[in-house]
Amino acid sequence: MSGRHADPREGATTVDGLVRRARDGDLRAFEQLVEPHLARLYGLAAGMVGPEEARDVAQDTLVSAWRELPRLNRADRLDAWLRSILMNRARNVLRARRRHPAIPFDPAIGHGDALHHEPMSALAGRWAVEEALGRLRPDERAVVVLHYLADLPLREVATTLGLREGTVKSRLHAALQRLRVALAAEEAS
Amino acid sequence: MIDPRRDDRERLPEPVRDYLGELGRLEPPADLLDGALDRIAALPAPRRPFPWVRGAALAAGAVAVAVVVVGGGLLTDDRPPGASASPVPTPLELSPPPLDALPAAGTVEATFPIPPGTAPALHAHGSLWLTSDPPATLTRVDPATGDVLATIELSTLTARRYNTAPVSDGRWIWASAGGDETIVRIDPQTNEIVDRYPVEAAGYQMLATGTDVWMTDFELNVLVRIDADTGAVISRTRMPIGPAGIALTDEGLWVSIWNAPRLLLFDPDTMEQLAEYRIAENSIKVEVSGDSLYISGNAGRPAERFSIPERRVVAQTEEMNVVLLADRPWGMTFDGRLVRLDPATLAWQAGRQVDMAGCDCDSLVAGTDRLYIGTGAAELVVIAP
Repeated sequence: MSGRHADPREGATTVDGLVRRARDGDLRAFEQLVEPHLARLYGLAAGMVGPEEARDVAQDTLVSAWRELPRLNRADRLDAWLRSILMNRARNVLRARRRHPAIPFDPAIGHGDALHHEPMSALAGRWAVEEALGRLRPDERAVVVLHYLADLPLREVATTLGLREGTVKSRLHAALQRLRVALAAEEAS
Repeated sequence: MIDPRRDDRERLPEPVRDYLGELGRLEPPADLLDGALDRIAALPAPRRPFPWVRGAALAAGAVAVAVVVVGGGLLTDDRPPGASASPVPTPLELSPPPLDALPAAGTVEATFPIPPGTAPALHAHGSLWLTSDPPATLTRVDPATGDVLATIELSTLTARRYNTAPVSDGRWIWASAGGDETIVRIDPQTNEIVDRYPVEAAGYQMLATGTDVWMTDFELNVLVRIDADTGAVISRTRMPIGPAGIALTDEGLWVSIWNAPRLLLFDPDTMEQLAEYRIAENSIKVEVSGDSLYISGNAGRPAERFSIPERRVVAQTEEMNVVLLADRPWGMTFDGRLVRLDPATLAWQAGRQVDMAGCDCDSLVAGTDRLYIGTGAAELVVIAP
């Protein structure tokens, strides 16, 4: 794969130039274009669908971006554009998951005290949070992830998701309520 | 990315904030970009859209291929063969073929009566071992004649519903005694219980390596490792939710979770969790063949093939109990359809309807060269492949 990495002899290139070259089929230009965004995309994907499927969603996003590159109107909005593609893909994954829902789990733990290994205790906490996030509607989860993980202001969240800012506010409020209720129920059990 | 000092946002519950914070700091996998570029390289070059053919670019790029082979499905999309990216293992809507459209799966070689209430659970030491539920007994049967060779009482206590789970390590038979939370070591030469060890668990599935015995107890949410020489409990790992299927490979100890869509990989020595994968929920059993894990379950769960090198579910088919006969997968549905499966795609290659006599069960055991099916009429059906 080393042959694909950017050739420094090509010198600095503008985002506009890279977009133009990538649109013409230059895969190396595309690589240069998206590489700075990988970490953010992967983090967002993990927030939306969980770490175990984040790689798939992030990769699907890159493949879609390549296909859709001719439709990118403003190269300076590349980050937001990639984010929108990813959020659409991730919400589709979540919708598919809701059609095949997992049975909610009860993190009650086993008995006996001696000889316990407890590598799973952290996992139990994490699964409880995943479970709570999993109960959110895809759009609610998207609002939470964009606002808190990606640190976007609500206006930008609205733009990314193609929603009105007021709608984003109400979804965020509903999402936080659901999370609190789910986690409180978890603690109580 | 999450700055707790920011106070102009509504507060996120702390565990969620920590969780998202952790995710935000994750390093992307090293092959993330290369994997995407591999897939892109196999696509047609992007085209500029022409205003008079709106959507032309979309059409040019949208080459999504869903391969569905009779009764089984490869979970593929537009990526080239061998590409490492995995699609979400969402169960496909499959239409398995009618059995009369398939070649007959094996021949019925014999039918023997077996004790009422028993079902085949293990083929080992040249015999078939039947379990009863409850009480906890093992019945040893000659698979060639159906003769009962021995009946071994494991526990007089009322057994828990899921128990016994007999396994062989090549020398001994190990079985969980269910109700009294012990496991027993049985000498197949004498059919005697030679040791009984308290383990504070009832085996849902067990695995015997010769040096260790592993057992999952999905009611108590524990995974127990027992020293095969002394019977001492080496480790008892609490799980957040019920462990069910269990398998050991060079990669580690695989544990499927019944009521969560998860397959976990552990270092068997330290019980450190190495990885976590999404599979369909309601898994019961994991069988290993080569670089594949065949994962069976119930509650409508599809049977799956998990590719160890690819670390993902690559094929699914209808709900069934999958067993391996000479390393080839066979499956039994709850309504008595016995099918031979393609090892890669799980496509149905041959099939046979077995009269289960009203038993809503998938009792199927593989021997060395025969399959054994227990029916609701207290019969054992022997199938020659």
